[in-house]
Amino acid sequence: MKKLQHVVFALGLALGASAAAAPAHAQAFNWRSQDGQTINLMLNNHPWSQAMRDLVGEFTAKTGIRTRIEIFNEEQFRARLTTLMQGRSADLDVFMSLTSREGAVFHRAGWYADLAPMIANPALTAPDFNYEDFGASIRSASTFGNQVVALPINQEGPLFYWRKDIFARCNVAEPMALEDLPDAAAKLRACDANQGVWAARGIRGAVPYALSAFIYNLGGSYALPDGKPGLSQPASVRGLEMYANLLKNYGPPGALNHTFTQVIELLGQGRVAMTHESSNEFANIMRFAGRAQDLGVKVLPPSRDTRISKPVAIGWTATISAHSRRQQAAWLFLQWATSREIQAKLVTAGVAPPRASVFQGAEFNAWVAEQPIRKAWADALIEIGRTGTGVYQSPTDRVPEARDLIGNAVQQIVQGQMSPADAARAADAELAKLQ
Amino acid sequence: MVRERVARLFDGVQLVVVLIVLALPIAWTFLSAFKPRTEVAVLPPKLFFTPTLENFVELFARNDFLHHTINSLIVSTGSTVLGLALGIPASFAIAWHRLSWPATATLFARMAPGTLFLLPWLLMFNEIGLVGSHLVLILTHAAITLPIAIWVLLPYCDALPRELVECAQIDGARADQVLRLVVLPVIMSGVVVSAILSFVFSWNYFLFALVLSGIETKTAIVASFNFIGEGVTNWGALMAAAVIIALPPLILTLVIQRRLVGGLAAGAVKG
Amino acid sequence: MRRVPLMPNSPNFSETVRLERERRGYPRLGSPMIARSSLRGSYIWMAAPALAFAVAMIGFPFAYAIWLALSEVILGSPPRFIGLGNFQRLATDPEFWNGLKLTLTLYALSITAQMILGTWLGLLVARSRYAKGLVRVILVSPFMLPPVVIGMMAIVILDPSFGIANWLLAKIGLGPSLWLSDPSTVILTIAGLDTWQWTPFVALIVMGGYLSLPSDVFEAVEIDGATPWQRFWYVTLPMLGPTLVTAAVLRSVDILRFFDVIYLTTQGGPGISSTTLNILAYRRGFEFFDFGYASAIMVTLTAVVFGSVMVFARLRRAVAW
Repeated sequence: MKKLQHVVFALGLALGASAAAAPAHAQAFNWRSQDGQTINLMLNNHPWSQAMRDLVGEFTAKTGIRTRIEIFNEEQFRARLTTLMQGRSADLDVFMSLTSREGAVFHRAGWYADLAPMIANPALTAPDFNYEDFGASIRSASTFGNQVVALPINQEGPLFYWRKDIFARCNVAEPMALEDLPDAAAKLRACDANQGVWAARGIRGAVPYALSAFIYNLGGSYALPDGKPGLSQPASVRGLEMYANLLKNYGPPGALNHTFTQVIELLGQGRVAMTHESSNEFANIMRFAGRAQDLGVKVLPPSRDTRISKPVAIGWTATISAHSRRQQAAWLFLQWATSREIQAKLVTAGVAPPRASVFQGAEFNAWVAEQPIRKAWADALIEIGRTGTGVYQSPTDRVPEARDLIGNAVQQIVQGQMSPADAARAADAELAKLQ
Repeated sequence: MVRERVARLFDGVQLVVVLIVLALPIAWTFLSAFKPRTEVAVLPPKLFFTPTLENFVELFARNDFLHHTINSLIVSTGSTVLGLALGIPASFAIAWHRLSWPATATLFARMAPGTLFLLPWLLMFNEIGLVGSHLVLILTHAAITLPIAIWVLLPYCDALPRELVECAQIDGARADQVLRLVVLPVIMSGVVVSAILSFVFSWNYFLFALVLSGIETKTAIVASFNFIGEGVTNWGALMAAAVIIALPPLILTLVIQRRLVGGLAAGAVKG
Repeated sequence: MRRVPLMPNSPNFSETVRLERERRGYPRLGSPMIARSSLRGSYIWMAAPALAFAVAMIGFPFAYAIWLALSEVILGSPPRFIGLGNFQRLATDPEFWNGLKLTLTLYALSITAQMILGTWLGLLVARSRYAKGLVRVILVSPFMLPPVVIGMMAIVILDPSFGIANWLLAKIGLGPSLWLSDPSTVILTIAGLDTWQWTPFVALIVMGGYLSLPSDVFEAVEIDGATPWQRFWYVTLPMLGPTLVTAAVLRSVDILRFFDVIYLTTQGGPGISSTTLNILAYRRGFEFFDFGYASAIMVTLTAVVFGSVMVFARLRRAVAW
């Protein structure tokens, strides 16, 4: 009996020891495990990338990993990325990707390393990393099958910016419903013919980003219940029509070539009273004299009839190249860059974090307290993070092509070549070919 | 005499008009480089403003533009020299034999869209481990400068008096002596023009460097695109970059255009 | 100096030039057979390094591009050889025919304007005593600006709502133009931009060519009492022939492939009214990841460019003096 007790005790000891050993092994995660490595990062020109360039010294101090950052403007970024990945270049470790746009195609081409095993491995992932802190919809945008292809680095979406002072001067109430926009535009025009009223994107490929909330809020969608293109549904046509008519009747001349570059100049210089433009431009707009005081910003108002508010919300991601030979070091970078601590610092550079918890931090609150409009901007981003969608074209893998066709429909309406219903029908026929 | 003076005056008037049309946008670029970023696109344009150097600080302190500019200098000089070294003898040979096809053949690198070369060249130069080096950029840019050198030099070589070369042959000159002592002095104007053009084309070409350069060998022209983008468009820095990028070719042109008067007009025929 | 009888408005000035050259024993470049018979010594090997270099650099890319053009290569799917399938698709693609039409229209407008203005400017700068040093350099400088700056400059200057161009038009009492935003003016505007930037390039080539012409021929014509226009038309222009061919060839290859400024300012719009072949190929390839089809467009565009170069290569013989 006593002997047995000894055996049991010994066994217990052994078990206890091994049980103790397991957490010890898990805590083997070490920020300096890749000390001395150098990783290459290729980033798209974006507020996040600019902020990274300034912050990355902290990463090197923390991990001993040196980084070489290259930033390219979007057109060149695409050309370089596509070529390097097709050439299976090992020179690239981390790159930025808009998974809502190109994720399916890049995933099938085998360009993304699988992050799921790394997230699951406690030896590789910091204990406080907390992947679930990212919202479910954000996570799903970068998950294909069982493979996690990327980590979200920001969230962004088009927001409604309007000049409170001009609205007040003209006695026009702040638009509370989408249907108020055309009325407000008409009143502003009548009040001061010299003041530009509206500006928004007109270049084909760029249009759907700003257009889609008009379609969604009015109860429309890009797809029929069976998945076929649904731009010609009555509610979708109404959305198309409202966007196109605002541009046509109240937009600046030459709007069909406009994208964020021109829209922001117009808003910044005070030449238009309202627009629907990216949240990313916030920091840029604030640089123009007076705008921090006289501008309002919020999510595009919901429809009065449907009460729907379904804005576009997308997020850039950071991902590891499947051809990288330094994936562990790259993974450390991704963890660091998407950590709560770093994302809190990014807010002050105008980058909205995908981790909702960051919005409650002390650093964030101090920054918001400096200017009231910052609070409005942050609130809008929290809202689109909750209610937004990253899908704004009919179901297809050929996303950029589909968005181009949708933008083309808007251009045809603005140019008066087709009625909204005809343009939508023609677009649907083309969109069906991409499915 | 009077007529000549009128003609000269008329020339002057034309020059002033052209100067205004060509130089105003350039002057605007240069002025804009010293404006705050939000004032570059403002209308009516501000002629009087407090100049700022913030754009150049952005360029050199945050973007390492000096390094990019040095890379550009290495690549453009290298490819211009290589293009001329291959192009001068080729042009002479093509003209001497009254051919056209070799000139056309070398031009193929400029007949296709540049994007056609990106992936094949990446694969090719990856194989021999040159990607990311200055050499790969010099070689690929020479594919552009070579046809420019050949085509610019062709009219000069075509006009070369045959007897000059034949005399040298009778005197027993070797081929390299013919080229160096007889041909080169006569086509000097052409060499100057093709040097300027080769340099500018190599300097402003970004597509090959976009894919084949490494972080350490990135050229200024590739970096110049980095001032535009959603949320990050920086007009001031872009204009400052334009100034820095335009200066070296301008200085080169200013220095060597003096040698444009030469060739036959200088009396080389008499020799 | 031997006199040639001159009839007003007759091509006798060029006859003067020809005789003058003959007197000095210059070869007659227009007739290759005679030239070849007077050949002593062969220098063709001097072209070998250049040719070898060109073949080494462009051989593989062209072979690769043609293989791509004959295959269906869509990112994310395995490549598949389809023979002429992409070219059949081209033949029935309205965007391709639209692109070809735009490419050729842009080409015709730009090359004509640039050759005429470039010749005028080149001669003006070469003979003018005011245009020396810095002035001369400024006159040839627009093509030294980086393409991204030209594009962004076009955005700021030509934007119909905040651009300075319409503001100036209004100041002098003219109506506004939509410039790049109107399908009916966009190609014309792009041609204008390109002409602004590249006329000085033609001018520089012409200036170099003019300055190296044998000055005694001009003196001979001067003594014959020719008017400036006669001198230009019958002497300068024929003698500049080979130089102009060079300028036209170098401009042709670039205008037909013109990309940066169009992409920066319009991305091929409004609609597809500025989607030239090169823009179309880029969008198909790098935006839509349809590389086989993009390659077929590029190969076709290369053939178009090659055609235009061949025309000028033939002209090179015709204009030789």
